[in-house]
Amino acid sequence: MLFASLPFLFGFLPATVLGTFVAYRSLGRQAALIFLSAASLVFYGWHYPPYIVLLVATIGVNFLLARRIHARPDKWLTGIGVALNLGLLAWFKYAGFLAEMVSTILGNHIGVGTILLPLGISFFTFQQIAYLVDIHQRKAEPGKLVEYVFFVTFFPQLIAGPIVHHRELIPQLGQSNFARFLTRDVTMGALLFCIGLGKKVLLADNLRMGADTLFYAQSLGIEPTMAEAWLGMLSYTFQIYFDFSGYADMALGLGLIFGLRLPENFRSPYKSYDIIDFWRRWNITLSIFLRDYIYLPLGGNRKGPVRRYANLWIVMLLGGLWHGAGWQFIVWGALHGFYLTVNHIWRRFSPYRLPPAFSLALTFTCVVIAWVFFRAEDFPQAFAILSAMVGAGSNTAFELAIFADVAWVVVFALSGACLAWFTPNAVQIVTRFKDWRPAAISHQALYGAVGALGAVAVFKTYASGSYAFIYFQF
Amino acid sequence: MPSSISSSEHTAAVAAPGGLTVLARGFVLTLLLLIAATELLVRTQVLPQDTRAGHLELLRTSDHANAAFGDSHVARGFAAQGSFVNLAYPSENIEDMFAKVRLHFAHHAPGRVIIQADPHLFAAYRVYAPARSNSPAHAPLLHMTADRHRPQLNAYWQAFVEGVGTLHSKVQQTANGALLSEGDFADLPDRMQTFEARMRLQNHALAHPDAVAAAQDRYLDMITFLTERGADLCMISFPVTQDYLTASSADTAAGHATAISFFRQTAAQSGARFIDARAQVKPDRLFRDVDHLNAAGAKAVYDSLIRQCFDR
Repeated sequence: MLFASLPFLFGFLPATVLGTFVAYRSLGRQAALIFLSAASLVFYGWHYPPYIVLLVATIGVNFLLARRIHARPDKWLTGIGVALNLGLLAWFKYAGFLAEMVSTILGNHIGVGTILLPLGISFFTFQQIAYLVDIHQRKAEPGKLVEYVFFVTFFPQLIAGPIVHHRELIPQLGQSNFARFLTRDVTMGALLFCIGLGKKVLLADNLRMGADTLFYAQSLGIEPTMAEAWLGMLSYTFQIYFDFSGYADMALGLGLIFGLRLPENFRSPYKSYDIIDFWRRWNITLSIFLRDYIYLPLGGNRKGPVRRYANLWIVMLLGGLWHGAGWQFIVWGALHGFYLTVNHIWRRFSPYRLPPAFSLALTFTCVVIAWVFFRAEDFPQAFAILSAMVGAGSNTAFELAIFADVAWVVVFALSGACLAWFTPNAVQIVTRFKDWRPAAISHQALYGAVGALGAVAVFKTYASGSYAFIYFQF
Repeated sequence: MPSSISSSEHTAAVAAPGGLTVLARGFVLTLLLLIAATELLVRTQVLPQDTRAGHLELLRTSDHANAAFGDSHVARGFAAQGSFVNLAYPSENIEDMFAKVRLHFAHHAPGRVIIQADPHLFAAYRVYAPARSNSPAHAPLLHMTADRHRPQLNAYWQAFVEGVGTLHSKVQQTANGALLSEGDFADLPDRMQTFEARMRLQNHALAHPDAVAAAQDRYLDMITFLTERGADLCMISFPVTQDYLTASSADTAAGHATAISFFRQTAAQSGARFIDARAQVKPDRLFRDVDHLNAAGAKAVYDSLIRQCFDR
């Protein structure tokens, strides 16, 4: 189910919020937990119920493994658990890709049939791997089954993160604000949710037309001009940010409505002054996961600079591959591995500091270039877009012919840029206005404006629906 | 998430609700305002220019023996005059055409009849489209909630903003039912013309062979229905731009040549005349877009089409 859909906004969400509060009030915490978990499974299986079975099976197996590991810590058993999770992910996500590679190498066709990717499998797999490892390392307790089911299925974070740790979420279930109607939490949650909904429906969905037009035109053999390539790529750069961070804001907001804190996943990444900074602000929970469960176990930066850079590359390549089974994602990861290596070397050896504006522009440009591979269908398309961006095409550089509503594409790209660079992000806004001051005009204006933003987003959703979140495909 | 917006530590179940009230008020008032403004926009700007009601009225009242049926290619491209009536309407598929043919000729014999014979009638978006009702739609309490308007609401607002406070329809409905339109394809840059043509052809690629076969059966049923009633029948593939033709001949996978063969064969078997007019209009300025004639184009080609169809 999509957050930006009428069945969710006017059916599932109010029913679940009300049901959880009533269950808590009349039957207690456990009942609220069970109700919310059941509702989350309905949310997950809304479009394709059979994958509920898969989700429940992985929960059962991981919980049993965790109990065994906790009772008798065993490196091998933990390894088997991790391998099982990765194997499942590999089957659903990479079987076709691997079969294609093997077919290419051997020259024989190896078919694996059509495999429908279960929604959110990349996220709930990583979450459960982290759980097993944390149990093994004694950073977490297995807890109760009902709590574990809730931890994995809690609908705000189930499909596209943020990746939550068992030790972060479960202790909150015992606190007094879980599943209770506390005005402050509900208000902050609603503020975040409305801002996230606005970012997704009013910005990301509209920025999509610029990005899609560029890639669609190129796929039909229309060579883009430099201006078209940049406008399309800027549209995509802001689209993916507002789409994913909009989702994250909504997830955080929904968590707060139920009295739960989910970790922040974005911190104005396009305001980064270097690429190291960027990765501390973009998809933060994935970065932390990769750091804690891959980079540090590989030795991190403790075994000299060469190993450090090698580890960085391994992490970024795997991070790229995590996004999808395709060489473009691997190249996207490799590019970021390269950027990070250069950045670390520059920090280590260079006595110069670049001017902030230049640093920001350089970092942003590098990110935009990497997004070309992330968005492209294949390498020829990526190289065609890149070559247009550097002005190597045969067309007039500044023609903007392929966009039917070019003025709107420019308006949305500029709006995206202004919001990404010159305004605080949703969490900063909510933090600043968290304590309601009735006498303050700024508070009245902000709360009213956010409510209005939510209404406009709902109206647009009513009229034309909304597109699935980009990260749903991962 | 920073601890500064961590969830409330208040133990009271209900705190001061002021912020939530203001938020909810902003939400509700804006939503009501949007609904009211949109309904007003639809009633005052859209409905007076809406061609659907006029079209259905013409379909209900017309007793012309000479009639044309099809989708927007016919509606915009056939400037019916005199004894001819244009009963085509945008986005209609073969089922819709057949339903109209039966309705229109239920009580009188057909005379000269033009039936569209364009390949995209067998495209997926057409063959899988649900059939439309030819009865005047029951107006809901709020017109903006009607299926016909709801998906267009954002476009209405966009056009309203671009029109600086007025929503100007580019379509003119004639007394004989044609929906003539402004627009000049020649104004577009060359690359955009090519892009438009290739995009349109992607949509116009033929559907799965089973679906095409089923649609062709229904098309044959319609032709048989008309010929059995003595219609002087003419099947026309309507004019398209050179860009569209180039794209369709370059993309054999789209299957347009197969579709044209089907129309040609059907005409030969049924005694109808088949006119492949796709390449008969050359200047881009006579098109509103890549595959629709504009008003000037429709008027320019009318006499020629009638002559080719019915001069024996």
